[in-house]
Amino acid sequence: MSLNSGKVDSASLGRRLRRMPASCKFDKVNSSWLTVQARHGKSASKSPRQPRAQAASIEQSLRPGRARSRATSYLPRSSGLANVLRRSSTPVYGRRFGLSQVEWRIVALAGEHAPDLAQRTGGTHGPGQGPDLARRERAGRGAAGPAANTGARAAASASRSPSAVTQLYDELMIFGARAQLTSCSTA
Amino acid sequence: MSDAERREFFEILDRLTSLARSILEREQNA
Repeated sequence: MSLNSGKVDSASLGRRLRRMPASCKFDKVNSSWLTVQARHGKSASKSPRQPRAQAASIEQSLRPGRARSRATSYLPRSSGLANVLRRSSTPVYGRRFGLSQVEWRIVALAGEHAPDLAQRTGGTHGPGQGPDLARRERAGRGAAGPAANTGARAAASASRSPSAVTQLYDELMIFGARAQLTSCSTA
Repeated sequence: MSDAERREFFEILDRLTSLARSILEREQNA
């Protein structure tokens, strides 16, 4: 039912509204009547602004329990695996590079997007940054102190010298691949 | 994905998880 289709005077509209059962509710956004099932169903309760047909198709796909069971069986396994991998890689990166988990994520993201970052920031680096900084990072002598804070400095210098982060990122990737190969061969 | 493929996939995931757990234990003991 649409209010825009044809001329509807207020009196007839009022009569029609009074005839509607109390359980019906008008969806003002989609200009359609919500049924009791759509209002109290799972998909409709999560997003009441969905059109009725779309909500019904989602309910239909969930009803046999097929999609739900698939999601519930995949997710715990894959997230559990990711969680164990993250926990096992954190001490390795901490010992080798002095990177905490958050710092590692920053370096990984900055390194992955370094070309774009370099383009956006001009791609220049001043003295003591860029390759020079990366060399010092590798030698364990940072610009501001011991190598324990490598990640924070690398992340802080990401906007100024993306190439330094790229080099550190490449080094981390090679180290990670080597560690994986070693653990696979010894397991 | 058929049921057999799904089972195989889950077995691979379980094997990977147990391998990752053993690596984690080794790293924690190191």
